[in-house]
Amino acid sequence: MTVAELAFQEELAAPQEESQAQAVWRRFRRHRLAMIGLTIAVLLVFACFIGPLLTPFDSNTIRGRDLLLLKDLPPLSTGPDGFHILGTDSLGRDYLTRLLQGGRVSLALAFVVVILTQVVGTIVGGISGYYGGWVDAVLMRIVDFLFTLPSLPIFMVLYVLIPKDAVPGGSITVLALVFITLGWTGSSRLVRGMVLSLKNQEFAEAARAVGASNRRIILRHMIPNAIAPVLVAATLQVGGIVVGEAALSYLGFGVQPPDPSWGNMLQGAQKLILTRPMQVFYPGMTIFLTSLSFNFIGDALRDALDPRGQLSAGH
Amino acid sequence: MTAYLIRRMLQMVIVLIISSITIYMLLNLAPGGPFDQLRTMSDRKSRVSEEQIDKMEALLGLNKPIQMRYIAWLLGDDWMGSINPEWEGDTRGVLRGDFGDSFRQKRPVMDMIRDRIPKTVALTAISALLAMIVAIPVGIYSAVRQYSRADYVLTFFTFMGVAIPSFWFGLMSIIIFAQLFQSWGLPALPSGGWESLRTPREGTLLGVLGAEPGSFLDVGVHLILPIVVLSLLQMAGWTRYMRTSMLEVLQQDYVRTARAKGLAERFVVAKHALRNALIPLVTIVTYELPFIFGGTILIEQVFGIPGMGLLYIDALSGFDFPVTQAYLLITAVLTVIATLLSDVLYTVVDPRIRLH
Amino acid sequence: MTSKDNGTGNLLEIRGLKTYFFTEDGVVKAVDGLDLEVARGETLGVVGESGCGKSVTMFSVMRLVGHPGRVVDGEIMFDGQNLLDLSEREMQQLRGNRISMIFQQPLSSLNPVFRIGDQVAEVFEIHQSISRDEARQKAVEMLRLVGIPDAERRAQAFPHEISGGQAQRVMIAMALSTQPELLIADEPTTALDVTIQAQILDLMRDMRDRSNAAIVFITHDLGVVAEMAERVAVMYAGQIVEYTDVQSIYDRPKHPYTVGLLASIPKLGEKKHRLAVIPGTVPALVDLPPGCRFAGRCIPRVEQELAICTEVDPDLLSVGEDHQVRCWLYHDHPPTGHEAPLATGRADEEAALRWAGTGD
Repeated sequence: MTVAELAFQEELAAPQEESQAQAVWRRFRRHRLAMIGLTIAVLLVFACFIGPLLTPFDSNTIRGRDLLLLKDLPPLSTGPDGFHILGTDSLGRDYLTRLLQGGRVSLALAFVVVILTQVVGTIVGGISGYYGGWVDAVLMRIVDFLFTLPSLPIFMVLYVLIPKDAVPGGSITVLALVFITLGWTGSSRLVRGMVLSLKNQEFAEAARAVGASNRRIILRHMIPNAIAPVLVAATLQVGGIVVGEAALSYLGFGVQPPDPSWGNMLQGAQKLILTRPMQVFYPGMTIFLTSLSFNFIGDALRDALDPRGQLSAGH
Repeated sequence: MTAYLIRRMLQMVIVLIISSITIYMLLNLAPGGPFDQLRTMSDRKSRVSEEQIDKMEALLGLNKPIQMRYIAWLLGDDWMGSINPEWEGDTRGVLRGDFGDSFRQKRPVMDMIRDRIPKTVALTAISALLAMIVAIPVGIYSAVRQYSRADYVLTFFTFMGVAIPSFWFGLMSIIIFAQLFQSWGLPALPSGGWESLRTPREGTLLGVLGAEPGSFLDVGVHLILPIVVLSLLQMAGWTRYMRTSMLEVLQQDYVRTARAKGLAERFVVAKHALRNALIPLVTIVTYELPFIFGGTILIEQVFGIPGMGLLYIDALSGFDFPVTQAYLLITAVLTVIATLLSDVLYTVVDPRIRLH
Repeated sequence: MTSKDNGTGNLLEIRGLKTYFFTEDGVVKAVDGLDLEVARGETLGVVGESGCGKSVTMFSVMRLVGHPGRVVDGEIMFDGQNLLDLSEREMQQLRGNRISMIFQQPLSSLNPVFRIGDQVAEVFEIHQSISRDEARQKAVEMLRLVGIPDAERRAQAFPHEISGGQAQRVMIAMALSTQPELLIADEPTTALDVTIQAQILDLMRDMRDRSNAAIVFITHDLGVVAEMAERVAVMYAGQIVEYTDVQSIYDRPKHPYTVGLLASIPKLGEKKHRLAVIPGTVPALVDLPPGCRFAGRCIPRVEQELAICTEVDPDLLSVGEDHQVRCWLYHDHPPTGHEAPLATGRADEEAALRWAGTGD
């Protein structure tokens, strides 16, 4: 080797400046809205999970008292049980506590559902992509059809059909199951696409041409890349489930009173729409903020993980 | 093309058969039938005896094995006397236009649907149309003026529109445009319903317009809020989609060629880019129609509009199976048609796709 | 420096062109001080690797540089007019009319939803006030001229129904419909098979002879340059590094990059153990280090132990009759006392003139 070539070897061997994770975070940070969304999401999660532990009120119990005397109090008023920052609902329960408690239910449900649907979807998508053939064809037909169905009426009927007492956790677990039955379709498509491109002949040939020992490197690149769209989809789905659960609870096919949920609080609020319109505002606002922040985060995540749009799967 | 259509039709039929079986079995095999409650009480203080329950069941055609009940649902049981006299009934079956009788209202489901479907269809169709009319130009504008302040503002609004819960948006709009307007002395919109039940109050928009209860104008004003809410929500998603599609198209080589030919920018956009950008939008809009139809459930509940959505909610709460089945079957049919229409439209607008 | 000059002055003269891209990661100086001339009827080859700025230069001429890029400095004189001073409307009158361009991927450069005949006809509709039918007829004639068989029928085809070679013929038809004075061809044969490539080049030569248009032929393929061009500009990282006639490029390449490019072409019958390669990669055009941009890959620099290469950016200066190079091997730099190891007399004079009075 000539002197020159040796010199170049040194220059080329200079170490990379930042890891992939750091690059992703740097790109993510550029999206101001997503950072705001992240802050809001963290605050909400914190408030809803820790909050109810801090307030002196219980969200459900109505103290043994003459029920006819119970009425709703406006915000910043003091009732028989203490000072209510957001007032009370029509049964005298502290509104803020119920709001936070409801958030706990909505958020916990959303996280659990998202994790489970992603798992189910990954398994189905993986099987479909790996085995191909008629297994793939049939599964994908099913997925296509389920994907196009309007979800709300299906959720409602499934909810009605599963008996609440047959399942531990009652209406909330039923709700989770309902969401999972339709929710897995999205990620199964994504994962199937990933598996197919992994199985791709050209890729396997290239791996062999570069040297089989590189297969590990390729897998170490492919897997993080495969996780990316799933992660984005999962983030966006959280917002969707929160809204979906709220919708079902609002209609009466979700979390049942006396358990609070942002959705069923809206249902109760609709009856009070003339006198206490603010009670319509709060639970809806929290749903909206949750959905919005997760949307911002998911969108920014998509941009940060894949700035050149190479990995977006088709419809 | 015809071969493709025939193949798709066959697939549709298979899908519909499987769906109808699923719907029927799901509802009728699961616990929670209309007489479960009575049965459990019949041995207690109820005044209804087992025999009376059996008779009621026979009247409703529930005394057949499940497969026959399914067939009866689709094809009727007025011909089943020849197989088993006990099975003879008086329904003609879905395929002959008879959805059976509602358990709760004791009248043909078809009648109930006939009342309600036009209302839901009106809501769905008008809001979809309105949404498209606005989404297309706004999406184009946003894409062409990328990075401008207008683009950022519009994009922000579309984000909001996609994230906002429809029912909350509806409720808030009632608060603002029906209630607050009233207290502010502005012509208020009606807070719900399909039409006025009595003469409108002074000071409300209806009062100002002097609309007769039940008139076209009356209904129209009642529908302003629900339609605007529905279409705004739909518009958000479609605007985003149009913008993305347009942005992608504007990056394409052939747009560069059009400019290199000396074509003025507005023609580059309107002639070369738009035609291509609309292709995916057309298919998405068609694809989403069943969703809008399902979404009206929430809007009807918020605004109290007696359409298919409210019918479904009532039916589910009351375990009224014939109505529930009918609604779900209609939904499945709509979905299947929408998918087919979407695929066919795609081949019509994109000369690259020709199906075999 | 002379160039083939058939009329009054050059058709195209670019002076000090700077086109920068203002990205989130910094300013990319895609074209950084470029001078170029094209005489009427002359064919200039612009050679370089991907990313060297050759396409951006020509897009700047057409004023088709998109966000986040823009021309920040320089003059582009076309037939005596500075194109950078024209309004967009005036520019539109030139594009596709007096200056035409054809692109690298012919199939994706055609609009997939319109028939090819209509796309060619569109050029006539834009620049000539004739009816649609007349335009269509002329389009068919053009298609026939570029060798599309059964032109009348093929004009009804959609782009996805024709081959890459045919698509490029269609592009050529579109570009030459209005008898432009300048045709810019941006890697027109790169995406095509070798045999088709030969046909397209034949076609282009044929059309050039008929119309006497000047052509700027952008490519990374030195073989194509040899066939088509009279003069060659070699570009690297946004600058021209060597500028001379085609014969000199092959017989007497001066710049180490040019030498490397020529050496990396494998020749049939030659025995070599390894393919000659220019080590390293093109530098990122953001945050360029001072000095010559090729310094990091330049073998002569290492062999001659030249320090100036990483300190001062060389200018494009003459090394002989109609031959310019941007390299410290050939030019002195009096302020630092650098003496060109491969200097010729002429270079010294110019260098002295250049650096007199700068005092740094």
